[in-house]
Amino acid sequence: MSSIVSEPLAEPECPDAPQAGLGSSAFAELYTEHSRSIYYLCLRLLRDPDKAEDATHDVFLKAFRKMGQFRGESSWRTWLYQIAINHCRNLLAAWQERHLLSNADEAVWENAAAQTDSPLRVLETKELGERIQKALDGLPAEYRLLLLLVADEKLSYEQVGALTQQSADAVRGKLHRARKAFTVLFHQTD
Amino acid sequence: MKRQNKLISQEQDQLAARQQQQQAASPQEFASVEEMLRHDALHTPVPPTIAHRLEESVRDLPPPPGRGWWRRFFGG
Repeated sequence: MSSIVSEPLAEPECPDAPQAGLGSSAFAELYTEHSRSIYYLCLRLLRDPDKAEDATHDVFLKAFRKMGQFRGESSWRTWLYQIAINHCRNLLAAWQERHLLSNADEAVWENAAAQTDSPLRVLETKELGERIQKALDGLPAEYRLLLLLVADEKLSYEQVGALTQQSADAVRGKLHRARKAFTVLFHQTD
Repeated sequence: MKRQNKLISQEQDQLAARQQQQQAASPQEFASVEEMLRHDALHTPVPPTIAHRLEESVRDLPPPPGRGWWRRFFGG
């Protein structure tokens, strides 16, 4: 499987380093700022809170180890997302779950008349997470990832495109279908 | 006195149950799929154990090199 995590492009500039540890360090700030987004992505991709917890830990640990190689060509957030996406993909491949996740039946939503511009109503917000997970599980992996990334307001279409290796225009083009598919599947979970 | 406390407690329980029912009955609307996902993400707590585990994991690791970039982004 090809990695989408950028490999180091140059040697670190300085041999010395900031104070490690989560206490009050810059790494702690990085974790505080981005852990929610990374955990949520891992949770929805891996479909299991325990696996998401392990994955989030591993993503930040990887980030800590590679921090000196970060060249600033992307934002920290995008960089962390790249590590997380790659990590989750590797895990899914290792668990041989990928075929289970790509069991999307396009006919289900292609022929359905879903209005993506009308609001989505939910009565029971307690079960919202479960319903969202079910709907996401029914999507092709690409749509699932696109929706999760685009939902992050701090990411631009260009950044989502870079993370999914396509142009921003391609992202925009696929989003309409992804939204429609999600809406149809979400209504079926009711 | 005990009986009075019990009654108050029962009333409080009933009130909480009524509030819960009302909350459950009022539909929540999301203008888009993305808005719904953002709401879900915001209400999905990050397990605090991750930070504890991470702290233990990095404790014995050598600090990351490359302070130059670090400084530029964090000023530290």
